[in-house]
Amino acid sequence: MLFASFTFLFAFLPAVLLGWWLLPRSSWRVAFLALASYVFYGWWDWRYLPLLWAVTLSDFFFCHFIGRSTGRRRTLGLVGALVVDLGALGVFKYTGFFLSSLNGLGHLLGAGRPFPALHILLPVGISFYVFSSVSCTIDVYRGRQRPPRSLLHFAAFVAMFPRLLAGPIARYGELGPQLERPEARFTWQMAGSGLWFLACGMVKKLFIADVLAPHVNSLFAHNAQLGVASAWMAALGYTMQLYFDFSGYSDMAVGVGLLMGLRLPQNFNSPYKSASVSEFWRRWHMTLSFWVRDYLFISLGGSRGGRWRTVRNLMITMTLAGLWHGSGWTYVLWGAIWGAYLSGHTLVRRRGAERGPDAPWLRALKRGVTFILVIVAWVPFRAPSMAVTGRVLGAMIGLNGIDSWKSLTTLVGWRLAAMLGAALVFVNAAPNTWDVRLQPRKRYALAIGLLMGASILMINHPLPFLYLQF
Amino acid sequence: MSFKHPADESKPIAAESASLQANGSLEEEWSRPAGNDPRADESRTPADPGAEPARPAKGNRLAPFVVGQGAGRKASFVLLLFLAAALLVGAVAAFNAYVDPYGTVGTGALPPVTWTDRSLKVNLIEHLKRAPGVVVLGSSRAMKVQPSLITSRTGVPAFNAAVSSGKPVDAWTFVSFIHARFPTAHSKYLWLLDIEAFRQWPIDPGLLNTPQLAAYLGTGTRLSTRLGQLPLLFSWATFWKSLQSVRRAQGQPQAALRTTLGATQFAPDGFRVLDYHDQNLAKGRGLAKELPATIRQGIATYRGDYSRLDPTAETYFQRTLALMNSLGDAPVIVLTPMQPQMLATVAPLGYDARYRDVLAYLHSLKARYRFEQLDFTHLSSFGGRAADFYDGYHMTVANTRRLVNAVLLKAPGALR
Repeated sequence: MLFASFTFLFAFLPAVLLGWWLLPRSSWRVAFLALASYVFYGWWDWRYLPLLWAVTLSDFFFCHFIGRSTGRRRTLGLVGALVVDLGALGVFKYTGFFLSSLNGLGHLLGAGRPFPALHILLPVGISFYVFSSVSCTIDVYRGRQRPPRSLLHFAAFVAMFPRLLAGPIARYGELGPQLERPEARFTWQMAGSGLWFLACGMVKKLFIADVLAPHVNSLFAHNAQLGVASAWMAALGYTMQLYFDFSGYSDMAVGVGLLMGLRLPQNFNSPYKSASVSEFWRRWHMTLSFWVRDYLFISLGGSRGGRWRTVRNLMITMTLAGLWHGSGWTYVLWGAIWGAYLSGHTLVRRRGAERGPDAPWLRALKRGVTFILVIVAWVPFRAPSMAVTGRVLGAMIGLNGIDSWKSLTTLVGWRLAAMLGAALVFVNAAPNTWDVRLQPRKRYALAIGLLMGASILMINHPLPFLYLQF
Repeated sequence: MSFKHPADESKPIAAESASLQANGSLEEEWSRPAGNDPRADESRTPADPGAEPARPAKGNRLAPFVVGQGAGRKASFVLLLFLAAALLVGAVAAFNAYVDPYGTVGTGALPPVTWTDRSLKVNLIEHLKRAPGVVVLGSSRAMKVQPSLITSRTGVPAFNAAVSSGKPVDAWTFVSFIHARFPTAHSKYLWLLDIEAFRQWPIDPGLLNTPQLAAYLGTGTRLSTRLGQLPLLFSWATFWKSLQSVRRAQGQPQAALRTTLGATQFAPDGFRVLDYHDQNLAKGRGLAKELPATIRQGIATYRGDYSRLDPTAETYFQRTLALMNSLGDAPVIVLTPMQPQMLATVAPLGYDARYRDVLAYLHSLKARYRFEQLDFTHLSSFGGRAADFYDGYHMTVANTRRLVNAVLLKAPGALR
């Protein structure tokens, strides 16, 4: 069930909102939320449910085990939880990838393909809910979080449908207290705010990302024919498509959460306004970025231990973040590129290249350079293989020559060029959805209502959210 | 209430990461609010003053209530928002329902803008000056049967009403429609029946969206289909089609005669003059190149779910026979051939079994219905040639002419 579907908007969501606000006791409401979330998840494929339950039960058990234990038993508990969580991710997400990689290596070395090709069904949203769930266990181990109050609260936290499939990767410290004491009364302020986020998300997804998608797909499908300009347009097109798709999803998730009085964490803060690669990761997929900062980068030693150790930690962190997105070498390359960017930025920063607030022209220049680096990095993220990555990146640096006017108008076309121009203005000039403050005036209500209605009329053939594949 | 964990062992790690984030390091930079973000502290306000507050990750914040104060106006704000959305959606859906460009609702107010070979053949039948004496039914495999050949051999006008993926339900609706269009005529039917005609298959959207044909599907089928297609009304894409439909229909209440469908051309007698097979042939993609793809299709069909004859298809088949008989005709039912290589491949995969099922089924109907049955499954039975196929399924005109000649030879009085 997609957020942008008639089934979700006109059947599932109203039913859940009614149940949530009408049930008298908070424990009933939380149980209802957990149940609704399982229905939502099972709608995709009920066979995925047992794994979700197993991860939930395991982390709940280990949270309490760690909470009651001292000394080595606490560490043992953490190791146990990590084995289950990362084991689930490893088996369901990476087994096929590693076996095919080993087969490729064996083939190169003349040893044939010793392993069978496995095609394990990837449970949708596994990367998101495993990270949410395991963060609670680690926080309990670190003494930053008490164990969840009950299995019911923890189950509702892990499975909470607005954020189950593609985040935000919320932590128990963010949502647990809200579930333990949910908002008692529905307010119009909460409903208005939720509808604002929902409308913004629908417009981003249905009016921008889904409209860009066929053009971008076509450009990447014709990767061998791309010249400099069309290759850059392909990469820029995907840069925009991905942002509007994923931030649209996140806005919808936040909107649905607010309609229930639940406040999810921010995932996007106008990332393409960033003036450095480091700032980009404080604005892009923030819940993942802060997750890898807190649970991976810091655990590896962070920036202690000198420049080169920091570089090593950044490379490991970002490469693993790349692998988190998908089991493929293109994702590893994407992560490595970001590791290299961040390492480079760290080294430059340490040499004192960054001093005080920048002059406006310098900040604009930095924004431009950062944006170009971001566009380049999205190429392996989008390309279906390393070969296509190489072809598109090669075309971007001119290895395929310059497009003829005819091929440019055929491959790219005025429509895509105009849409990308408008999108560029939007991402640079428009305020972030989170920073808007609305007075409850009629004209705003009309505008948002018409936007929402217009988006509903785009629902008929929605494309799946890009991040659902991760 | 604040939480303090009793386990001292955890403190070094917590303290370590806290110190990392506070010493001007990369971690601190990673946690710093981006740009001019004020990090509104409202996100830390608990719902219940006595409760532990929700704690966003360092550098992050929880969703704010973006709609400001003004208690009396907030309810009207939300209600007006809903009303605006509902009005826009309702207006577009009402317009789409009235114009009905896909024939979803069945108003028939304006001709459809999307044409399929079914709606095109209905259009051709509506433009016939007199009733066809012989009507050809079947799937795309029968679309290269020339009505002009039948006319020249029998002396009566003929019409080819075969449609792509034609199934018994299509035959039922076409026979019903032709009877309604020419109620006093007595047409004869040549029905080219594929063994795959009894495979379970949903009703073709082209049939459902042709109101003149869909009218014969029965209320239950139509209703369930209409309900299933209802979301189509709530769509900008349908709205643009509605506008096109209105523009095209201005001053043109009845659809004009139409003989083209994209690059495919039809004759007014329903014969598919030029189709993608001919275009492929012109591009050098002859039988040798087309055969492998259709063989793969055939393998998929018979390795797939075609394990028995579909009872719904049987029902429509019998209903059609009953209607034809009641109108005074005993149709000629011809089992269609396949290209021999194709046949040899699919025969052991299930084709032979389904072929025997169809034969047994037709045999069981002999006592109840009048029809002539010709089995042209093998080319030798009508003098067909293996080379005169476009692919594994579709005969060229050379073979369909041989087939028609053989029909007239083996069932001499049936079509006259």
